[in-house]
Amino acid sequence: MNCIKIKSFIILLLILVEVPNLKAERKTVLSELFSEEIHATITNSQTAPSDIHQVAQQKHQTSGVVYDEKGEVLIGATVMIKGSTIGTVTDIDGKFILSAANDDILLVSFVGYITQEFKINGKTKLKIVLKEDSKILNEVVVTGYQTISKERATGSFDIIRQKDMDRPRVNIGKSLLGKVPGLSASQSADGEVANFVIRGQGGLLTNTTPLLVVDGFPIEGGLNSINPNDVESISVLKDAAAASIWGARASNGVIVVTTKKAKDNKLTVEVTSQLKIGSKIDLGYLRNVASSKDMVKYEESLFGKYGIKEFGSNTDFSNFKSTINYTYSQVGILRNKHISGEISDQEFNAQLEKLKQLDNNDQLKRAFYQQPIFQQYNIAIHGGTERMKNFVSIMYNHNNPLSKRTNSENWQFNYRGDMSVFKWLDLSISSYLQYSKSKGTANFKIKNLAPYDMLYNADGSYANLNHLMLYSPMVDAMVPKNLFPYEDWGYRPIEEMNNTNSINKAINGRFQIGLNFKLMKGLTFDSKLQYERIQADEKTIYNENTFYVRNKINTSSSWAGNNNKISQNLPSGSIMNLSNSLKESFNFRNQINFNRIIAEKHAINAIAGLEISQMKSNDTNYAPTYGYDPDHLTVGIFPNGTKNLKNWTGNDLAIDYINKFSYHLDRYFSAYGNIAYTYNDKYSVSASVRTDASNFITDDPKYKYSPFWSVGFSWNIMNEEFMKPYKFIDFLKPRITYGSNGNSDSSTSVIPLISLNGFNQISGDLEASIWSKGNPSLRWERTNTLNAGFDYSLFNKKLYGKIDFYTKQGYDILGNVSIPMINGATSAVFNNAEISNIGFEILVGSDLNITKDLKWSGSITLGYNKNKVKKLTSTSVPYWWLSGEGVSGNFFVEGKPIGQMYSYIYGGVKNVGTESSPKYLPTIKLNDNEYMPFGGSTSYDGLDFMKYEGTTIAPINAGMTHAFSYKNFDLSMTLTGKFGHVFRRTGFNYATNYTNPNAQLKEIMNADPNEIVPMPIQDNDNLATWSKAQYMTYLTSSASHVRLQELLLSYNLPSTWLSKLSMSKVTLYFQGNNLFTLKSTDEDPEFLYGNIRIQPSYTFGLKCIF
Amino acid sequence: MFTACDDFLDKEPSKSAGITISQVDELEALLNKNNFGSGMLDNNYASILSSDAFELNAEYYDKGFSKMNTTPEIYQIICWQMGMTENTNEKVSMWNANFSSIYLANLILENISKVKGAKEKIDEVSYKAHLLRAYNYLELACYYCMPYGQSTLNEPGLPIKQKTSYDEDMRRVSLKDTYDFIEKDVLEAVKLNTPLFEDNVRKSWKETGATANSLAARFYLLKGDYEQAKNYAKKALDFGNDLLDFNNPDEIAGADVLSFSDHSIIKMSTWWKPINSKQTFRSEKDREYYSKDNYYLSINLWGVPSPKLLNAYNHQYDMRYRYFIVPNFQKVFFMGMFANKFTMDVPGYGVFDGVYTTGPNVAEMRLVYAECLARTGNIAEAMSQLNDFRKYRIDKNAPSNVINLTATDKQNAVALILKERMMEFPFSKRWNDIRRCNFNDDPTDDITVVRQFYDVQKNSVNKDVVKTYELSPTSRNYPVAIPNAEIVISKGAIEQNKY
Repeated sequence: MNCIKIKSFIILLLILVEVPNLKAERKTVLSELFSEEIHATITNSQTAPSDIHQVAQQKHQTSGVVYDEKGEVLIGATVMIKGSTIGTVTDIDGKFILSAANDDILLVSFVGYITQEFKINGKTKLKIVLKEDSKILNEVVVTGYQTISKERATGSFDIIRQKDMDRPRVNIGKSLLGKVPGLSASQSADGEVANFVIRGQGGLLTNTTPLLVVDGFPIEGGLNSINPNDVESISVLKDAAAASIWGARASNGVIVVTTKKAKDNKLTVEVTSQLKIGSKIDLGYLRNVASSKDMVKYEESLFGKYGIKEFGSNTDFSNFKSTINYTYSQVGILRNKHISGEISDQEFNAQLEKLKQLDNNDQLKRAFYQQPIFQQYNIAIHGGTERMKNFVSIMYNHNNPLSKRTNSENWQFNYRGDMSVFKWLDLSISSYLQYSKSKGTANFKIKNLAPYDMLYNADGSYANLNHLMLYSPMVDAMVPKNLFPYEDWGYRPIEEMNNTNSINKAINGRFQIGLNFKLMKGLTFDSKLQYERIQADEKTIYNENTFYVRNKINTSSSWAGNNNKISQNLPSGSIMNLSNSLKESFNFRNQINFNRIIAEKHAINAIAGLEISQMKSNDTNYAPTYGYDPDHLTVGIFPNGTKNLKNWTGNDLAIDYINKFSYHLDRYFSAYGNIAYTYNDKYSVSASVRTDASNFITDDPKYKYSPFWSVGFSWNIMNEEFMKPYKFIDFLKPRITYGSNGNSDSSTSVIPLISLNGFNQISGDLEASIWSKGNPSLRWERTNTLNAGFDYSLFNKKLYGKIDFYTKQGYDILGNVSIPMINGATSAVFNNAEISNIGFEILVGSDLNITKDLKWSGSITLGYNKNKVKKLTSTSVPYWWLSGEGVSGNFFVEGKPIGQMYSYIYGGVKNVGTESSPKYLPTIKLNDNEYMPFGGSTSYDGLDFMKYEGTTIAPINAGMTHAFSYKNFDLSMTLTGKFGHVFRRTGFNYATNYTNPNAQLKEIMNADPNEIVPMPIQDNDNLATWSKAQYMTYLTSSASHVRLQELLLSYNLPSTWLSKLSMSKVTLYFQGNNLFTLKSTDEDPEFLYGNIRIQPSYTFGLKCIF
Repeated sequence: MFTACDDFLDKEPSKSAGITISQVDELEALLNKNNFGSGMLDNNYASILSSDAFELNAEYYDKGFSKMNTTPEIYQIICWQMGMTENTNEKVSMWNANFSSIYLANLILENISKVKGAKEKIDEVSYKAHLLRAYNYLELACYYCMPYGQSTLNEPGLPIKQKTSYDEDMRRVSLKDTYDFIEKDVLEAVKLNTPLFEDNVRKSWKETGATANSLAARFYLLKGDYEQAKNYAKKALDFGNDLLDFNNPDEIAGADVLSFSDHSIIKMSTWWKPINSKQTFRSEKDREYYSKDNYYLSINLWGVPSPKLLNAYNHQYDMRYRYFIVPNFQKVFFMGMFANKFTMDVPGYGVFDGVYTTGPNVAEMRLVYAECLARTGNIAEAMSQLNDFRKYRIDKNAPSNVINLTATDKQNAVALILKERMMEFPFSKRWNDIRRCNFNDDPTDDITVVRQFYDVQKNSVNKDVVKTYELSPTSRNYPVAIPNAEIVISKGAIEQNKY
């Protein structure tokens, strides 16, 4: 009935459209306005009654069962009579019943399987076996703008299918690990993927992360804004053919995510849940501090040496002023008290002895850390009718990370609806809404605590550790604390944590609407709009029980040593900080598509379109709210106003009462086109062209536009006659692409730019500073990429894969260049660097049926990338930045890869004085005869004497997966490896001024002073110049490592049990992540000592389909 | 089609950070920021170390004087081994800092004709930018070039930067052309008439008419054009000629500073009373016209007075000696941080806030005025001006002949004024006095400086050899070397000084 209604509606609409054209020739108008199909529909509808009559007469009941290749029944497979709208879906036993005519052909389809045709030929009982969709055959590449069959594609891409994602995930990042050759990921300590780099770094200063596209549009929200349970497939586009279609933002590759759509008429409910349990903190690794005993001994060795300042507690006010903010460890304070005569020798020694016995590790662990637990619940409902399909999912995450009193919650809602409004118009609407809330507490620097800084006193009360914040003996001796707003000046870390509350709330939304007009056969027109909004609010309240508040209010009071006159300048009470940010973006795209096979031999797929996009961000940082009362929402006032105030030491007090706003806008305009032509299923040629223009600032508008292009060719050899004898080859397709791509930097400009800093609170004048000195040569970065490779499949898919070779040559790459200082700077950004990335990628996969029940599939991916900065006009490379000391930002060396590492060669301890007045200093070897002592300098260029040690970016990324399937059990594992790079392991930190010596102290104790930099030999040496010891060759280690990313065991409940529960599928998962890392040193090259290291986590998951 | 989109793409990416210049207020805001930032700091080592007011001898060094043994450059500047100073950290050099300010001036001057705003404001900002450029060029010329004189006109001067672009000729022009270029800027700058006081606040951190005229006075004094120098000094004084009176306990006070090593009390002076100060940012110090400072703490050493300087003061009545010469400076608390192993008593010249003021001030202009009178033959008036100045510096209870000096002739008058300048500005302006006196047309005021110290080498000090160093009027060792990095990066277009 529905069908007839639609048809009548279309006819009605056609008539309406045609009324104004009544005089025109009817047929012509129809075929021009609409497709042949619609014309045919009208004809059909006119003849429908008699057809139905005829068919009905010859029909009989046909039944069957649909199986997969393993012999399992397929539930929910679609069975249609070809050329009609009559069809059904297999039931829980894989059965279907249909009335069909003898010569009807059945079309049987199921997600992930090849659609097959069966002639009924009078049979009434059918057994249909569907073949699983091959690893490479019949796959499609979703570029975001179009969908091309893999056979016709010329470019280099990888596809992650749903099968590989069908497991518990926090986000989709992990699904790509080890599966995409040429993709390198960095992971955060919780094991999740933080960032990707595809085929090496192509720029020095511009962004290096790939573009993330979801359902046809780039998104701003990142991996965490994608519900991992909703993802249908992921395509990774790596070469110029891919990038040129995405333009300026795609030169680092594109990750295209396609989310699930409702597939059939049947209502399906999927429920998944997971519980991920992480490892407890490895506090020793994070703190990396020497033991109390070693630390006290070390500090004792500093007494009276190395220019460390020593002073007593009670002094005059001017000394107080200049020293009050010096922090000393407990040992340092004891030393000062001892030399100033405040404590006796006996007490001094007793106290030191006592400190040696203390260890706060357990207290810290109990007070600040918890077992990390992550929970996820997801429900997805999909189904629909012929004309409208809906997909809805709701996900809830709850995360308790490592730190106590922190947690986050995350609600995510997705809707996707596909409607066929008219035969000639499809409408799709999708929306995504995410609400997340995370709670945090004081940003506590655990590394400031010495191992003997106990959190609790002997009586169980919180210990006062305010020596970590200021020179507490002077506060105690000199400050009339009872006259200050807060007499209590104590800093107690647990109290600080308990009385600081920060809440971060974010609401993200993404809305898409798309119209697809079918103009004629093969010709469609798309009009799509996406709006995305990311809104975050942050609120932090410190109440009066925090040192932060008490100290701030006390030290802001005017005192200046005058005990009778203390004047409070800030109101008492809580301090609240508020900030918010809003990011809004939209894309609007109109595209015409032509996709048709002409005369059976000429397949053409062409698109052309125009797009505008905008990204706007607004941030607000409010001035702190003082004296905030959360119960009555009242705030304090400044008792003495905000001008001409002095703080407790008599210095000018600038009260921060100014709100700060920032704004950024990126706009792009793009025009693009792409054509792929395939002749006779053998030869495919593709070409694409695009121009992007952005709103970066230039005085000549022509610089705003940049053309990108690519061409490609592929050859499906297996369709050649001469390949017919080679039966063992299933598929072989050589392909090649070449193209030119670009990138822009909107942070700089051709002309100098300034930034307004607001009003100076003291002078009252508006201030501005130079934002960018301008780059008169600014133009688009260009990268030319050649990719050649082939896809193959052998022995009936027992072996399949692909090989790619590529070269990426970047020209006019923006680089930081040394310039003469007469230009007002020591460096400037110019488009004059050249970068090359050359590499190859291999994927080898295999599927084997070992026994009838036991199946194995495995794959190996290998990506090799040789990165080199080919040209960079920079004549001088000073040693202090070549080593990495005291330099912020990235610097590069011509002829070396990005991530180059140079170290000093240790020259041993040398007498740099004379024989009569010797002075022994550790030295750096300059050449066979010359040595630079610590604290000295040299006029040699860094490249003249420092040792190149390799790159810190792995040139080789490898992955390996194995998946075994035995009856209802599946076991899989993923390993990833990075090889061929180096890192600088943590050496001893030569702690000065009573800061914490790190655990590497033991390495220098009793070491040969000519092998490892020793402590200073003269007492008056400046220990601060020992920082060069951190950059010695002997600290360089191989960073190669292998991680077991994942071990997954899953179990599908037998269908016999399920049918009783009216469920179609129930899977149980047990997954272990990051179970081990193989590496050459104890220190993890990606999680250095002093950081939280990656540790195993265990996930239990459940998935039910109704 | 593309031009239609230009409207869409013309919207600038930012409203506050990374914007184009369109208003004169924005140019003024750039100057305001510079006035509160690093633009007001000098890294002028030579002004502290190179003159005859500074003392370093082998004994100090033997006793471990400071940790400056890690910076050989300091010894090289002290002993005028200027050719060795090329291996300096160019990042903290005058060269870098001053060319940054020159860039800012050029940025303002390039945009001044394009911006919107009141004409008076546009003119004012333009004059200020010329002032900024002239000030910084003159400082560079006095640091990296030979002193100005008839014999040095063809010596290398400086590269002339008048644009923000990177394609100007980098070669150094002659010293004469450099001074001509500065003069043009000075003549623009003196059109500035911005008052020194605003709402009774002395805005000495900003460019004002006082700054411009005092710069012009300095400039012409360096060139030996005493008539012009006198006139501009007078004009500068018209903006404010009030001096700190050291006889008035409300205006200067000694602060008690606790000794680091033995807890004894050391008297140390401040330009202001640290407690209950009513001053806003940047105290008036010695009545500055422009708050340019040399932070002596930053190079871990202080002005060590030479016997010559110490002997110049009347120890009994000169209040500068009383307030600023600290006999055991190494005990001063914050100095102890750097030299706490140094047990020998070494005197120091210093004030509590750790800076030597290099910017022009009332004291300087009064003495320039007096010197120009003397040099142009008006000896009586010159001495009257000098003695009027000394009233603020010498104890009022001193005998009149201690306060009031008399000159026998022009040469004597000039010598007395130069001596006064040494006592007033020992570690800020004395070095430039030696430079100009040795190259001006008057051979009678020449000053030769001699030191005895260990053999100073490129990377170290050789204690086996003691040498006598002499800086004579014929020496080529006046300019500090341009940082080597600059010679390398410019591929030799910028040439090093020849020593």
